[in-house]
Amino acid sequence: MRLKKLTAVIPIALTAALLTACGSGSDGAAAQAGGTLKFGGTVPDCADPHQRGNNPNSYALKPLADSLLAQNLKTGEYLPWLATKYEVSADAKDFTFTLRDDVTFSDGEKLDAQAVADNFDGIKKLGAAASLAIGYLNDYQRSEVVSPDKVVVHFSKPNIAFLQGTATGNLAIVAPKTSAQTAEERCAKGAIGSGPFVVTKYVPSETLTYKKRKDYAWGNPLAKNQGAAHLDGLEIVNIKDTAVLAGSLLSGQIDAYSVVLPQDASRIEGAGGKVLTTTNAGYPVALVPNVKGTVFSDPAVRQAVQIGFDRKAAIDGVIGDWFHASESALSTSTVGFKSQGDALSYQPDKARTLLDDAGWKVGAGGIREKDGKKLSFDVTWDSDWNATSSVLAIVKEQLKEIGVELTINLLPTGQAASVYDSGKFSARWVNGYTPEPDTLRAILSIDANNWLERAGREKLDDLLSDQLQAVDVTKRNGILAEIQKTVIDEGYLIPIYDWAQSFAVSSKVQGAKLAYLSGPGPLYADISLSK
Amino acid sequence: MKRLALRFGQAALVVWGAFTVSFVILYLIPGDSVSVLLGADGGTAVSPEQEAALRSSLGLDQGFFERYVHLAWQYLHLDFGNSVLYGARVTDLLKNALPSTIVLTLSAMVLSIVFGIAFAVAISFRPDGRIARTLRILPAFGNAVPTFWIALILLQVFSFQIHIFPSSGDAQWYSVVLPALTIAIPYGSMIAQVTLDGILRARAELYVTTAVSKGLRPLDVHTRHVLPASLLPTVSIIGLHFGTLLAGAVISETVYSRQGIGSLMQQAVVQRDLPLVQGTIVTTAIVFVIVNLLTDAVYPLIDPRAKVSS
Repeated sequence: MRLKKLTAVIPIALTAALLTACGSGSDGAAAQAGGTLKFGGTVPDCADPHQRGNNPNSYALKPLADSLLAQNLKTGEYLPWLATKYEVSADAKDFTFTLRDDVTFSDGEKLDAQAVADNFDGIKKLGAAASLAIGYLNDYQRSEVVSPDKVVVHFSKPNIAFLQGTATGNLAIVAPKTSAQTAEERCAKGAIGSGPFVVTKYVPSETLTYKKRKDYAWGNPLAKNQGAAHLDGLEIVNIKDTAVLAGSLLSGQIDAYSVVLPQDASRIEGAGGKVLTTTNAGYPVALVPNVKGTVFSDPAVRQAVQIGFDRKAAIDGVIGDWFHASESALSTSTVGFKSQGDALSYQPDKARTLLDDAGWKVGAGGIREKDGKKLSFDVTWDSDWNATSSVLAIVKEQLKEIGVELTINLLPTGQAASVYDSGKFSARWVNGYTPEPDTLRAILSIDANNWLERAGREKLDDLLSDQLQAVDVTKRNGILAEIQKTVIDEGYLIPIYDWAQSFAVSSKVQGAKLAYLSGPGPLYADISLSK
Repeated sequence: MKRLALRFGQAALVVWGAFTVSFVILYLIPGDSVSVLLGADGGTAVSPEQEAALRSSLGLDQGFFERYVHLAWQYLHLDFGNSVLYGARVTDLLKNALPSTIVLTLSAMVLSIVFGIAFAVAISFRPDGRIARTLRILPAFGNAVPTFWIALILLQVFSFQIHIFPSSGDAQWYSVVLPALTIAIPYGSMIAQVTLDGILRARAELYVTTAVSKGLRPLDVHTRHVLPASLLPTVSIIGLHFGTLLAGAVISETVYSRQGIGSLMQQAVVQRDLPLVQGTIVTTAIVFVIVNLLTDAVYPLIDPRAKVSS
């Protein structure tokens, strides 16, 4: 088959223009050099960005490695980083990257095509241990080294989602030495990368310190500073208790931390600090109904629940005001997001009519029944953070108004998976961790994890697989819009609010900026400390 | 000699019991390290086959008996296996964490014993005075308040408001003060309660009345006759409630983010890291058993009656 090469080469000139645009949001005075940023948080139990890529770990590991591409936060356009150029074959199966020739890893090894190939082979070998990274490498075949600066990544089936993966920290590029190690060695010794900072001391779950790389000159295109970091070093101060973080920041023992509680935000701002926030990309915090053998097998129930509670009222004052009520099956910051706001507005009367028409009559205690079965469902999950159950408690009250009973089934950490496997639950409480819209396919498609437990193939499954083949951005966004509409109208995903990161910094910290698409965490090279 | 052998036999039984009970509990609750690990990442991207492969590579697909026998065999050879979470050897992790916990628990113990006994003695001079009556409520209060709450109050006052002590870690020697105090308050309160009770009881004994009537100074009565007799229950409570001290270490190390056996255990339980949980539990059980053996050994030194009866 002849491959129609590429619609998507990025000329360097365009990049330069974008860079200038990105750099314009300045902090005024030139950044002061020196100092060590003390970041309060959890020191990862494993210092390998391929194996630990979720929110807290990403904040701690982001300084050590770079990615092939970056992504413009507004347009979603890909920007060159370690790769100067990329090409995608017309069937979205082959991805060619041309690499910068001046990049070295912190162990002195040069970045070349073989090193990149080793990364993807290495992730494949890690398998489920690299659970977020492996999601971008579905149907990965091999990486072909064409020349020292050119590598082609081959897939057996179309996988356009891989492209966004290369712009995340999950597929950050590590040194050949790291790729050659076992999963345990990578965890314990810590990955070697080409990032603006180098690990100076790492003890799992205890100590993680960094010093800057003086010869760093290939900064994230989203960063204002393309050269060596302003800071001399970084220290992840191990503080596990959320109640201790705010007090430690306010008393000057740390300079920054992530995941801010709403009640702490005003105290931090009152003391001259800042709380930076940004909405994460991917699917929102949502309920995923189980349609097999529960009340959710009735589409009317799913649709009634979809419009039967007020999303805004459920989160206002309960969680930080940087979280927003969901407008679609993807969060507002996701590439390809299309608002379904009207279909998600609070319409209790319409919900009641839907249920009446479907034969669910109000029974004892105001809860509806049909053929002796109560209109009741449980929400089952196991990793709570400070206020999720409070949000759910409000949803529960609101649904009661339309005659639907919700029971909260919060299990101890690690126990939900076996309940999900047993099928004895009505709905999952989920939260997306992957910015790429393909994440909807991973959870909903009958060809993938099929969290809905649907029995037969539907048009949605074709749409979900089509989006993975669409190289053309406009075409893909069209398919994604159709997917979002179907998912919301069918009540296949009942979104509640879009997840948002928050990053608190003291008054000393300058130049911090969050970049959600490239993985949770600030662009560390830009940060400086005033004396 | 026979008695000693019996005591060691009992001790071994306790350790084996801790090993087995913790294994059974951990095995029975649904979920394992893999489900925790994947759950933390949303569990979206991994296929069931990939999940199964990871489970098998970690040895989590073995059956109950297979795993129990395997683990017990390892333990008999003093091999605690490898942590699922860290990949490192459990013995290395324990070796790393133990010194910090020893420093913490010993400091807490010294603080509790010194202050607990001093408090009891001070009050016992005028047990019915108004001040003493008010103060006598304190041990009960200190004993009833949750440890994490004590920790947060101490942090608020001595770290966030008056910047004397750091809120986390163990970088400086004085980092241990707040965590130790956190444990010492409930533990010391208990010691104070028991000691005070013992003193008051001993004072009602006839030999004390005799000592007083033969004209001994109150201080001598206290140090020679009252205290030695009343310390016996205190010593047993120190030994028996050593577990409270270790439980306090779990909370204290977590709130103050110290890397010790307590926080290691907490992490291991949350992450379902079975070999690590087993390792920390067996280690603490061994420590607990040794402390109790030592308490038994100290008994006759304090009270000759214990020697006679044995």
